[in-house]
Amino acid sequence: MTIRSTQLALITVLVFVAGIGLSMGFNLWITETTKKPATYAEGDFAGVSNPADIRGSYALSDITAAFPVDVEVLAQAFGLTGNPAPEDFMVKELEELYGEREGLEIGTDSVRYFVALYCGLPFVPKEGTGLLPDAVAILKDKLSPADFAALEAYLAGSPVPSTETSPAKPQAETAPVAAVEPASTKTQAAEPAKAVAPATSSAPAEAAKPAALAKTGTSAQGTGTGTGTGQAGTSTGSKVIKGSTTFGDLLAWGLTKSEISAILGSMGADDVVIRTWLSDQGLEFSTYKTTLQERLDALP
Amino acid sequence: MKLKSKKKASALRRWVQIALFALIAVIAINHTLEASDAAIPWLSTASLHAVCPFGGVVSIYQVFSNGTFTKKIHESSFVLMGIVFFLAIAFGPVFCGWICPMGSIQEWTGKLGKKIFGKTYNGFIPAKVDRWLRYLRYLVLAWVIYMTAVTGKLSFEAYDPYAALFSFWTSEVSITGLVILLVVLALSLFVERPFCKYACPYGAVLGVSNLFRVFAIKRNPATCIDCKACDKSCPMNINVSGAGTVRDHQCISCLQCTTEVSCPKPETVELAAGNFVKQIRTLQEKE
Repeated sequence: MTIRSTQLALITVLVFVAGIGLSMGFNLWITETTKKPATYAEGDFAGVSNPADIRGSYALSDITAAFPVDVEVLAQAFGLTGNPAPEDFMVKELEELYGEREGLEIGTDSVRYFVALYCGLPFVPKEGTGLLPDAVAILKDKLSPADFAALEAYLAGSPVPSTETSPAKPQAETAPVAAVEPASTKTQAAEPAKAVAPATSSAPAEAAKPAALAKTGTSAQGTGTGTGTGQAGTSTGSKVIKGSTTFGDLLAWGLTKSEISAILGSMGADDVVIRTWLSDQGLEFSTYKTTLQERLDALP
Repeated sequence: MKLKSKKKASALRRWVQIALFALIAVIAINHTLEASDAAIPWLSTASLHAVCPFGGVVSIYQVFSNGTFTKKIHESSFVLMGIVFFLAIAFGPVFCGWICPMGSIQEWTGKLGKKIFGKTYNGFIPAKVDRWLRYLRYLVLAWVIYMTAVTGKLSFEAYDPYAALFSFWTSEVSITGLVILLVVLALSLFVERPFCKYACPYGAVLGVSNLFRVFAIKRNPATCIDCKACDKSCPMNINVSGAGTVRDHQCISCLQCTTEVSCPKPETVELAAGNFVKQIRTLQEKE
């Protein structure tokens, strides 16, 4: 049996039309996010919305529609109470708003983690995820003393005094959206030479974080995209990648250019801050940081 | 087959390519207009990724492991992936030869190259080098699938010339992708479909269907006069005249080599299923 051009063209068009039409009939032809997170597939929370599937394109109102958390709570947790319409604030804007604080990233994963803790759902945050002091304060009543103490590893900023039930917003940490400076990547790019010193001086603090991560990881294991590595405990000594780490730092610590390029696709100049470089590529620092750190930790 | 019919067959594929190219372009523009509330109401505002079947391919791992989609990928990508796979099993990489806008624009640019270089067009790269370069796209495919699985993001997006082609008017365009697009178009002046041959990860996936597709390009040795018209017309430089059934992984089912378009002998090179030679012989005996 032979097929001619006309027949092939017709069959191709018909198959496409029929296929798309059929998928529309079964409500499978979806071309944009439904703003409904996936649910846990199994376990005690089967069928419950999974915070790991919260995306940057979600507005706070989308989160409150899927999880038992109010917009006001989210707004307070992420310093948006001065925003006239916090319900329309998109999660991905947090990274632009806060960027990195004290080596921890405030962004989409922070929201996932906060929502998971607030709603009592399992979730393991990515390495380097941070929570603002207001968020930590809100969670005080939601967590056991031991779990609350473990949050110290995620605190990005000065801790709120424990006597305050409704913490005032520290001026340095929270501000109306419009007044906050963009992410600190610009200042990082201007100060690459300082990257090594902070890494070595904060080594003890960094070494303490893995223990907290591992502890929290056992109680917050999700199945969504936000699942962290849970292996952060392998970070050692002063070779800890932070937001101000440059490519030169990686090379000085023993990674080769080919190793770095294999992970990142390519690399920048020695004095370029990795986080800034990744941001320019539209890539998330926290994701690649994990892989780079694992490679560093594997070095003899 | 008369010359007029041959030109008609060739023109049909060109018009299908133009129509699909225009459709994708309009949808991409409409998606941009949506941001400023100026979208055409009766037309889709889907993102470029929502109408790209390759998005389904790269998201397979995440769907099965986490039950979630790679960022920017939706159910529509999986529907399109299924449709294209179905067509590939039946007729080979029809998507590549008839639909893919990136393939189309390379072909159209290549026509300029043909006018400039004449017979030397599409023959600049030595066969020995070219043969090994053809497997490069499988390395690209492996890298894309691995990085997408690890990061949960469209790792290829930053380098994808197709994405750059339909987003160059937006702020989301990747400069790297744009540069690659320009390089590919420049190379198209010397080599036909360079991206398809050497770098396209989706072409790599679909190319595998050539090994077992139901309808394949078949040549009747009994009536073939070995004029090499089929070889010269093949955009992928396949040696059609040396094959009984073309099982080359680079075939794009464009039908340029067939009796309908290039082959001067009737019922000699056709898109067929089953024992093509036996079928022709049976028909001839009946006559």
